[in-house]
Amino acid sequence: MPDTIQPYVDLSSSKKVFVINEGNYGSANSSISLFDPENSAVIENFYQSQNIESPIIGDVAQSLSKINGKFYLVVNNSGKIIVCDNQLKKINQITNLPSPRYVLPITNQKAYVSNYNGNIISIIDLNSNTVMGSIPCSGWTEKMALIYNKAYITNMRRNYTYIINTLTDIKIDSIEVGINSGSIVIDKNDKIWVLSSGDNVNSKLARLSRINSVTNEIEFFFQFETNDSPNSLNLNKTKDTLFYINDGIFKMPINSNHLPISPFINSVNKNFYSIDVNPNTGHIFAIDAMDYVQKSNIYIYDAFGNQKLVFKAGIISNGFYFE
Amino acid sequence: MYVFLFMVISFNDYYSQDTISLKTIDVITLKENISQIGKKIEPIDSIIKQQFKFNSVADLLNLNSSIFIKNYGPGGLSSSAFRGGNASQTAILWNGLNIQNAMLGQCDLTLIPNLLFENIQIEYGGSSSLWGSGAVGGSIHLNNNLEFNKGLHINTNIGSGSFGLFNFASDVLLSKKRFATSIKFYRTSSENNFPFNDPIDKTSVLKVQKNADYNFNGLMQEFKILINPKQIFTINTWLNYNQRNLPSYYESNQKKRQQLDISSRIIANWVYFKSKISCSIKAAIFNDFINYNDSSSEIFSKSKSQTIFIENENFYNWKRHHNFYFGINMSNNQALIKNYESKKYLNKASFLIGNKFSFLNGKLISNVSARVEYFSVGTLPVTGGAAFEYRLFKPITIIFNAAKVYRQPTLNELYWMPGGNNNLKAEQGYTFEGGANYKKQLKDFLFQFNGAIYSREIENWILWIPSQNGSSSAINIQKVWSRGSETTLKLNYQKNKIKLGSSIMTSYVLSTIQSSQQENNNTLNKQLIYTPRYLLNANLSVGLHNIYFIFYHQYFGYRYTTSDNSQWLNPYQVSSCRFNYTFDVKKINLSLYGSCNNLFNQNYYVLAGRPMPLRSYEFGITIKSI
Repeated sequence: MPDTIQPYVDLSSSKKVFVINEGNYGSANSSISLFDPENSAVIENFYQSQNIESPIIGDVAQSLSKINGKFYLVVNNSGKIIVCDNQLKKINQITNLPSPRYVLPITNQKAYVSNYNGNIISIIDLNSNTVMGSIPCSGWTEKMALIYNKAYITNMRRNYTYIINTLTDIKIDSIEVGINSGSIVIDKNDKIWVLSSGDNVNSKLARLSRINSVTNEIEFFFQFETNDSPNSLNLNKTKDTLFYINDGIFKMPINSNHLPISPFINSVNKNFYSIDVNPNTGHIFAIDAMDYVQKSNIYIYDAFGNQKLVFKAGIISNGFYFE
Repeated sequence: MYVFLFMVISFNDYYSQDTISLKTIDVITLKENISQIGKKIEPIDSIIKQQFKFNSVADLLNLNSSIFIKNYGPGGLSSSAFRGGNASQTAILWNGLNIQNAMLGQCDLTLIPNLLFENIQIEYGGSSSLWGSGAVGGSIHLNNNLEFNKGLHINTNIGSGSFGLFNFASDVLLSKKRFATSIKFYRTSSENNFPFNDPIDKTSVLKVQKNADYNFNGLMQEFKILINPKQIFTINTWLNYNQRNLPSYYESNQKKRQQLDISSRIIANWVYFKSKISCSIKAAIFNDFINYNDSSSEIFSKSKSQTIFIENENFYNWKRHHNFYFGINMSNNQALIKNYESKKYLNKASFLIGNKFSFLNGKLISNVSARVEYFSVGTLPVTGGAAFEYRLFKPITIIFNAAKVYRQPTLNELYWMPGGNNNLKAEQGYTFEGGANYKKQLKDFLFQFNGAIYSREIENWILWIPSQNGSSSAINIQKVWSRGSETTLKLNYQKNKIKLGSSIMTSYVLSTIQSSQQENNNTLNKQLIYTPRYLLNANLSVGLHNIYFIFYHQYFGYRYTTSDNSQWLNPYQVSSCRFNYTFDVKKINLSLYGSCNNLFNQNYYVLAGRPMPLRSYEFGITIKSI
């Protein structure tokens, strides 16, 4: 049985977990839940409570990042990024973004923003909180990773991961990784892993690719079975083990020469929507978005796959920010 | 499928005659009559229908029934929530055939104009044994009723209204002794750029709805031939071409999304009737084409679906007031969209048998029916129903019915990729209803009351729930219990040229999830989303000679927007009024009409994120040949 949630969150804790709840498309019911792992306590609608004068986030909160001590809350369907202080109080807002998804800090002054549509990567000025430019990049760009002055941009609608030189803001290369690639991580050996979910409608198999971050070449890839549709690729705390969802949650050492056959955590009576790994504890946070129109369940598992806790967050939780 | 019968005033009279007086005939459906036994029925009377002639069925039902209409705003999708059911659990029957889209399992009531139908009726409660899959929460009957020997009539309507609304409709009726035809054409368009208050940005001035314009066009033609006094042949054709832009309220960057709905529907019906026997053979073909474009998201979806029906039904009056019936129905659904692996088919064959009884000199009427069905994907339950109606004493009738009801999965639920599930079972369950009708005429006053209570449990309720890669899967996941009550109270006064009327309709629905397969589910015993517990529709009408005025007031209770009932929309009340002034100029009848919607300028939302217009107006003129 899971532990009982205690109704106390230590706001001064440095290990808090923010849960991003995107809400229902078109309903503007996004929210942020604040979870305190040390007290196993949660505050719902934390953003609303911190911004009583203007409590509405907008439509589809997509991601939350912390850059230069400020939070950047990306609101996809509202086409904006809300800039907040470290208490999540709104201090500014970046608009004129087509359909923002994720923020990748490049320097202290600038960051890249991927977009669902618009066929661009937006460049934002982190000092003035304005859009300072864009880089043409066709398709639905999703999660990004930065290494050696190169930004690797995954793409849900194209077969490629694009590479942008962050010094010149010019797209310099593309790597064929398969369709529907939305997650990307960099392991302890600076190898880049991209997970493509494939396209069952058009019989395109999912694949997990490892990219050499120096040569930008695919070193190898693992192909999934027909009807598999993996997603949500993550690394453990020591960056030597991969986790992903493929119905259940799978675990794979980075030096494995094959894909795992059976799940590390079964999904019996659960429907995992997204996972993330808490870098402080190594615990796996798994989201069950239920029927999309009720509060999500957040399951916490230890590194061995034992369920430690379950708590409720907002409508359609889609990710976390771990302090 | 229903049988067209020529009747002299009433059903019973029909069976007492061997020959039929063609001059006084009236066409009704025998199967509809049977299905209404022991049920709460809401016929839309001719005056009301006239008032809503140029509106959609969604508007008509919203104001004149106790059905909750889920409306996405003017020109947007409208679907029905009947007794706590969803849109797929309502049968929309055009001349007895279900016109729900085979892929979606529902049809958009906004795209169905009232002027196409001579008769509209609402049948509350499930009747799967008579009407097949989908008749779970209730049925909406849209019937044509072309009469012989009426001569030549031409009607034309031109109307306009707020936010660029334009209406044009025309119909021509040519009715001879043995042949009748009618053609109806309509066009409705609107800029639909109405102002609204933004609940998020409360400091702002009024915002204007963008990218919500629409343009609906349609044509219906009917041919009816009296082959001889015992046979009638009818062909009904209905074509639709509807274009609309789809607004997105919260988006900062308004995206252009368009939807094109094209449909063609043809029914051919041959009816044979004699003193004790009647039978019909009906063939129909329904085509739907939906093209959805969202260029900014690179979504270009085109779907084609087709349903073919062949049906035979036979009625035998084996004893006075006792009627035995049986029939077969075969249908083929096929659809193609890029999200299916290939063209997908559903084949269905069913056999219906039943009997209507009448005892105690017609005081007790009952109907018992059963349906067995073959379904090409999975199995369907054997369904049946029994209904009773007992006239306790003259003004009071008691009704009761019990039935097994079901809904088969739609093509999308079975085959959509990703997420379709061809192992889905039919949603099925039992429904019970009891009630009473009271009708009393006192001099110039007519008092009517009907009330019903019901209970329905549905198992294997299908939901789309999250699965891999953020997509969804269709799963038989929960059991839902819907129960509640409905009342209708009407008081009318008529003397000379004065007509006064009032009616109050109420609905109480408790529709809760009884069990679910999901772990840590917080929805047990919670009300279904967008199912208001309380609904009230009231109106007050005044008719003076040739002027008619009606005032509506509606109340809709809380609508939960999440299945764990953690979020909701507040109740709202909204009022509207309509007037009609009719006069003759030589051989032309003119009718001026107008309406004011949202009379008191209320800010309200039927569904989250879908603003409704503030006060708006509509007016026009109808020119009719006498």
